[in-house]
Amino acid sequence: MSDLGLRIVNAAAAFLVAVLSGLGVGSGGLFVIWLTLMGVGATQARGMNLLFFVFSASAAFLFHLKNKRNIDLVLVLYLAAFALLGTFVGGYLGKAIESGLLKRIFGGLLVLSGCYTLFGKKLGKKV
Amino acid sequence: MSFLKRSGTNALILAAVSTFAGFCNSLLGAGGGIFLSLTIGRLLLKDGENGLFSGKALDRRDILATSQAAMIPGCALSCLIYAQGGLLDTTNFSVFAIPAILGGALGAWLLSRIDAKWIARIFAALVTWSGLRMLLV
Repeated sequence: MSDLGLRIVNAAAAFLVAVLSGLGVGSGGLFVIWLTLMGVGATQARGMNLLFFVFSASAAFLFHLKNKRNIDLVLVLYLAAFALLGTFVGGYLGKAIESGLLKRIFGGLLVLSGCYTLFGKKLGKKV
Repeated sequence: MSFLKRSGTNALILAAVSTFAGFCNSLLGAGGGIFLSLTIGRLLLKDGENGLFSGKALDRRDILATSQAAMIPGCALSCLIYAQGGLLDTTNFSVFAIPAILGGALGAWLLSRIDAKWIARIFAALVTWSGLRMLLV
């Protein structure tokens, strides 16, 4: 594929992932997978995914503010303050932690939670 | 902060969850926001105790937008930490920057226009997908 073609495909993929991100449902790491497929190393892909989220989520946030969506800004600040604390700890002390285990525990929690949302109510009705 | 007086336990849970979300995001590069949305949704939509700080009721869409906004500063800090460690190469990022902004804005526009049931389904599918990826890859 030509360089221009590759740029267009990359931009289209990024746009689709950003739409999901703008919906507020996250991208589920889809952009990391895309970058990895494009030959970007896993760690670099994680960093770029974070930067990508900053761009797409900021655009969505500004859109919501402009259109007066009911965002609880005090709650945002409260959550953001603790998320910053966690980020700081994760960024500087995370190297000492076995991230593979954390990844699996976290992954397991997400699968359980996702399945509950998708199938929980249906199962509840059957029981 | 009336919410803290009214429901200290929920405030503590939200603090712990957002700390964990930031921690995971910086360590794994993704997933923190999903975890935060899930927990806020469960806590704030339960027993009608909505709009914890502002007193305004938040629906499911508001909660998605709120938790997304809360993750922005943490992700920006993560980027700085990654860049400081030489782990963030922005030379080719220009290809993604404009689609990210346009796609993000379109997603925000669609948020008010898609049936909440479908948003919940897309969200749950992405949560499951994201979890499976973390378990298997």
